Amino acid sequence: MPDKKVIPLDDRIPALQSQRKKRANRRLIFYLTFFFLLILFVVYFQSPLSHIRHITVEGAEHVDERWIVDESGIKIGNSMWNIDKEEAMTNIHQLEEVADVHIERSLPSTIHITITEHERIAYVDKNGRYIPVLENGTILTEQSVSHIDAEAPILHGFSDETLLRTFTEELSKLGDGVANRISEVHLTEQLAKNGEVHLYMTDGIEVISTIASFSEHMATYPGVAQEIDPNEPGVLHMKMSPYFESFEVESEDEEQME
Amino acid sequence: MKQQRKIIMKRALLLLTTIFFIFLLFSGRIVYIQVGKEVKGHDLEAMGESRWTTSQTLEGKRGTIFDRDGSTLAEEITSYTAYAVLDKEFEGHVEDVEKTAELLAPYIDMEEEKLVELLSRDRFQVELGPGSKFLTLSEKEEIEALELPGIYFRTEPLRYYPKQVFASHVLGYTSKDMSEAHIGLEAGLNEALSPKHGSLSYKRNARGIPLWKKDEIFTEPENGNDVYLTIDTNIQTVLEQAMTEVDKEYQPKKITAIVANAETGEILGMANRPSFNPNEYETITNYTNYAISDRIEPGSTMKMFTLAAAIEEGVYNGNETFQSGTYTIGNTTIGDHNNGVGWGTITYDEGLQRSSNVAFAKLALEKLTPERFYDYLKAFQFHEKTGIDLPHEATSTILDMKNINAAVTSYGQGSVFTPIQLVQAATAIANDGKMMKPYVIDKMYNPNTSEYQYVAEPEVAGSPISEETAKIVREKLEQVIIGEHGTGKSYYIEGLDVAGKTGTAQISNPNGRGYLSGRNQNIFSFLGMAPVDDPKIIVYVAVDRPQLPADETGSAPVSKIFNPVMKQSLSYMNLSLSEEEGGQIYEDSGMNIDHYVQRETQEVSTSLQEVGLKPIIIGNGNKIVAQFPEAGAPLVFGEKVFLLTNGERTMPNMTGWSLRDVKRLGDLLNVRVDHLGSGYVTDQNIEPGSIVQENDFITVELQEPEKLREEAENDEDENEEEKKETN
Repeated sequence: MPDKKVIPLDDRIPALQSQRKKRANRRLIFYLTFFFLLILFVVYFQSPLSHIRHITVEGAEHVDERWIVDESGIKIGNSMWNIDKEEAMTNIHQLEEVADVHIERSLPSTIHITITEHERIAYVDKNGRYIPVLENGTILTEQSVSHIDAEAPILHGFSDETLLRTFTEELSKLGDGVANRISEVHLTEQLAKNGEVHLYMTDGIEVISTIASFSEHMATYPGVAQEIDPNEPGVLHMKMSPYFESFEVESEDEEQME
Repeated sequence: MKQQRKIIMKRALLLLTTIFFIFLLFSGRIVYIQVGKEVKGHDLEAMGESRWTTSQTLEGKRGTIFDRDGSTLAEEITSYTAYAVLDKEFEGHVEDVEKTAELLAPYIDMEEEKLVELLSRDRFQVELGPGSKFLTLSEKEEIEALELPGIYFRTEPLRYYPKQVFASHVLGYTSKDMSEAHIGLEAGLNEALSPKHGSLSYKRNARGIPLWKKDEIFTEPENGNDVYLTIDTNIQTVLEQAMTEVDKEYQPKKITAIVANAETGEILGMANRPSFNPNEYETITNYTNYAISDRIEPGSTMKMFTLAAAIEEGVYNGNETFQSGTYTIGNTTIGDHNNGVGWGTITYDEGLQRSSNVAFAKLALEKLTPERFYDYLKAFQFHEKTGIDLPHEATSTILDMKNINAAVTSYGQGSVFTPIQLVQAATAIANDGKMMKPYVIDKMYNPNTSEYQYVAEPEVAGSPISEETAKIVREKLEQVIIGEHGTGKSYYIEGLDVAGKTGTAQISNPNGRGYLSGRNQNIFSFLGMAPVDDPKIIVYVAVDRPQLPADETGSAPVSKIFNPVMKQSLSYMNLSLSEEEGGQIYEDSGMNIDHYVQRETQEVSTSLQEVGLKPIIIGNGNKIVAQFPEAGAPLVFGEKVFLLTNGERTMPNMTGWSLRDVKRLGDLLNVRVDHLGSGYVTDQNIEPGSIVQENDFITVELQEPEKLREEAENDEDENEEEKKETN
């Protein structure tokens, strides 16, 4: 059946021709761009342009930065795009002192590692060297240091591992405000027998408290300490109900004798 | 051939028609069901809905009741109920009935034979009686350790009171499953404590696996509010202990005691005997909180208020004398407590010390006049409830205003009051004239919105007397304890200045007229406060009809409660009161420090001192260039704050500093610190005042405080010797 709507081919030739040409041109440009992009892509990945040139570590106060970089498995010269962030973070996380880690690519060629360290809550004195204890209770026995900073109090005489663990656990529960007030903690055999510890506070007050529920008993310290004259010789007992044991009795007696 | 073909055609047509009709039938049915949605009267849609949707109740938690420091007094915990599966088809059923019964019986409080009978029933599963309900975790674990097959547990919430007999009447109790709340705050605050149960309904597939996110209807359960009381566990514990001892020793009919904060009206302790253990509420004998619901004739403790009224009106002269013994009003004669003998002519001050009824009847009638006396009863709010936030407070009854009634009320007979009214009135005397309304609920916390729904504020209930009067009254009341003729000598506590008034109230004969007679037939009480110059604590103790041994008076059982409680409360309050006033700087987590760098040295230094921190200024510059601890670090009261100024870095005198402070200074100055010994600094290598260089080393010598003390003593001795020599 003949179709009446058919337009003779000749009528349409000029339009069709120019259209076809345009389309061919456009296609060529597209292919060419694609091709060159591909080449650029390959060149970028094959050349040192895509390699890591800097690794920065932020937030490492106690841990050596180099150690963190080593542990991450990321090396200078590796491809920027060939690193496994997840794995690197897991690796760094395995360092006991690291609480949190975050890795970021910064183009063109830098890797930022940001870590948060566990705070140190105590230094245990062991034969003149100090073993740091972290806030999560980890005792870094292998990483003793010879010189300490002001971040945490010193623990003397804690040779018993279980006592040390119980005490540091309690210490981690204590509010930072009061924890910052403790200068030194002493444990002698006599004290250990009673389950007590002897503290030297930064304000000059001596405190005896119990190892069990230490954090509870010490929580009221600021209010209690305010009532006490640090110059008066005596020991403050921070126990179930706090009381101050004064050593001035002797001198009073003397006065009376006079 | 053609014929055959025709037959085939016919059969085919028939088959087609049959199939068509059958098909029509089924599709018709389908259309019918689709439209009608009903089969044999069952609504299909509803049936389906119920098959693929499940609804479950999500239970909220009843609010916890805490003491003032946040230690738990009542809480919802998980308990366990044991049951046995008997069905032989079921994997893990009871295998050996005899053995199971024998082992299990002692744990669930049931006779072995009865248990055997239970376990032999022909049932799928059986409950194991009341003894198997509400087991604690450890009890459940003990039973589990027996490794009995067929014994299972399901969990159930349970109301638990961890401190057992402890402010029981204040707390009240709920039934174990918390469906009903009885007496005390559990009942009074039931609405606030109760949770709102939520629900979750969701659709699931044929296997019963939930189709999440598919028309899920979720109503979140709301937990009940947590309530914080003003009760202090330390004080309440001492109170309960003392009362238990007295209860055992003297077997009184009842005891009641209230400990209140004199300055705020907070109830720090409240207890009664007989009391109960809210975990074992089946055994309760006394449901009344006597402290607020018992109406008693207070006896001589009332004289405290008569005295206050007389002093306030300026009609009391302590040196004036009167004839003690008896006093006749109209045709009634009242007498002093020594059978009306009295002590001859004595001063009013002595009358107070000896607790003379005549003295106070005279004060009320002759000096004050009944009208004014009744005005003061009103001012002390004896005519109405205190409005304490506990349920079932009783109302008082004051006798009509007649001379004889005014006289007996002046020394605490006739009219009846509640103990809490006496305590409220006493706060006026303790708190310099300002009467504080007692309260026991400190705050309520809504865990759903994480907000405090209610926070109590101390409330002044009235000012019946002036500050000056209150002070004089306290001084006079101190004489009751330390005066020569004082009746309250047994309430003397070494090292504490107590003021108070004893009371020996007669008890109206419940079976007739008059009062019960006999040596023990009295309510012995004491209403006291301490310390006299600024009372912090008020304690009221009343012991009803104790069995007194021949050599003891009624004050013995009362003082055995009052003295330890007052002593404990004060020593505890002294050390803990101030902590609440100052806010964060007194909390263990400390206050966060500001950023001070670039600010004026002088201004920062004063502002630090104001909040109670100790600024240590390094150098003499007027601008701060560095600080330690850094901004945001938590600090508590009295902490040193190191401020490095823009002047020269001069070494401070570190004698007496702790090692940690020295290290902090080192951190701030960025110099290394070495130390010898432990304790506090006695010597430093860089002289105070000299300038610290960048790469200097600070070396300090420390001494233990014990040794420091010894040395100090030696020095003193030497000094004294020297003195003597020079003398």
